[in-house]
Amino acid sequence: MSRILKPVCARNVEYVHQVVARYFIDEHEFRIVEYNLGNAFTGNIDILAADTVSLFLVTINRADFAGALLRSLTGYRWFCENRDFLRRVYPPEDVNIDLPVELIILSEEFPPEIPSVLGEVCSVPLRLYRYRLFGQEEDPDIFVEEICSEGTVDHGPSRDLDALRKELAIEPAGLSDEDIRDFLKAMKV
Amino acid sequence: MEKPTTHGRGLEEVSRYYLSGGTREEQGPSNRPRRVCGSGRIVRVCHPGSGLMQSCIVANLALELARNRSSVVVWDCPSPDGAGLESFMESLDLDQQEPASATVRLYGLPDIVIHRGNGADSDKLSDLVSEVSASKDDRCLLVNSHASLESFRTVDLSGEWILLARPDEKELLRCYAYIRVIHEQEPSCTISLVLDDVGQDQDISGMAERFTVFIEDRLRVSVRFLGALRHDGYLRRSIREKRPLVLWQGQSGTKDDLTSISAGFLGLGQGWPNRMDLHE
Repeated sequence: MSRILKPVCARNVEYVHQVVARYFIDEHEFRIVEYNLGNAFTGNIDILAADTVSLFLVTINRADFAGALLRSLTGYRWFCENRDFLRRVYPPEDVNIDLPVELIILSEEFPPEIPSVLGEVCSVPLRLYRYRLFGQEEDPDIFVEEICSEGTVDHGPSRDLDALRKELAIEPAGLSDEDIRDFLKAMKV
Repeated sequence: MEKPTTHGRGLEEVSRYYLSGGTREEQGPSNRPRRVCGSGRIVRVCHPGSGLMQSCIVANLALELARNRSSVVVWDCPSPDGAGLESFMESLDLDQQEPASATVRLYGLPDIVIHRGNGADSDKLSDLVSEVSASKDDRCLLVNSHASLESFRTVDLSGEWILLARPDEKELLRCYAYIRVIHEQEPSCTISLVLDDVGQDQDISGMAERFTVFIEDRLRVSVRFLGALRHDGYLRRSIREKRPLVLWQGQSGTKDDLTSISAGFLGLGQGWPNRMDLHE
């Protein structure tokens, strides 16, 4: 017997943010630094998260994708302009504000070809996730999948290796991407 | 005919060990520690992931070398977080008569002289390296420096290296980077590896083997695996009470590991159980 889950539109925005945050914590081992950073006038970030090598500015689309994209980009600009302030607010032992930044946009719908379009125009790494809420409006379940067009939006691997070199302060050794990949592969059981 | 037991026989035994002109190690039974720390040995200890543990290892290794009759000199540059060798030996009797050095005096052991250095004293360190290298007696210079990889391009890297890393891919990758730079600068260096802060269930031998095989294949450098260091309560207590762990009397897994690693480095004992198997 199959169970049919009907999409719902959760009214409580804060709750949706927390459900999305839980997804990133569980699935990607992100650490949530802050919710609702900045303001709507100068740019805001729904969730500021981090892992060991990157900071993530997460925007959750609640209306139209164009608005969410603009919000994400202005949020990024706000973040860059206020880095000094953020360094004072968040001590280095909590989060390293100087880590490389990635943008994340979650939306229920995306315009066609948007991954490849953004891949061509964005210099900042950007990830797109489709999400759906199911169940009850007051207590929804979430479904999330990453939308990725290979060679377009995903700047991941080489950027990750640059961040890794920086994190370990091993740039002077001149290890190439291939060196590092070979090493990591060799160390796997 | 068996020689009868006399009081004089005891004196003969004593004189055989203590009253002749030879060194003690040459005269003792075959299972006694032999002197292996040859003249003019330069040993550089480097733990890129933890300045605290680097100084801890140097403090304990200095005592183990002294226990094996080496004259130990230490070049000590505290890490940015202030973890220098003296902070690990505060509970010992330190002779502070010289402004730039301190001497550890323990009954029955050769003195350990600690020279306080900083990053700007490279000439002084070079002088010390030259002095110890040229010495004819059994001297060993332990270098406890916290220089960055970037500065490796401009400093003297000669000698024997003990690299420490936690048993995870990132830390070992950093070790790989260090070995590459050291080897490029000083191809004649010997390099040993110690895995620090290992867990009970980790496959340490397998990890060490994969690492040493990769380095051998990629850089043509033979890395000697000295062993793994567990962290137990005694280690934390020894750091807190500023007393090197090898001087503690109680049973401690970390102390056993330190002794085994030191013995492996000095070539005195078995060292890590699987150490000899790694390159076979």
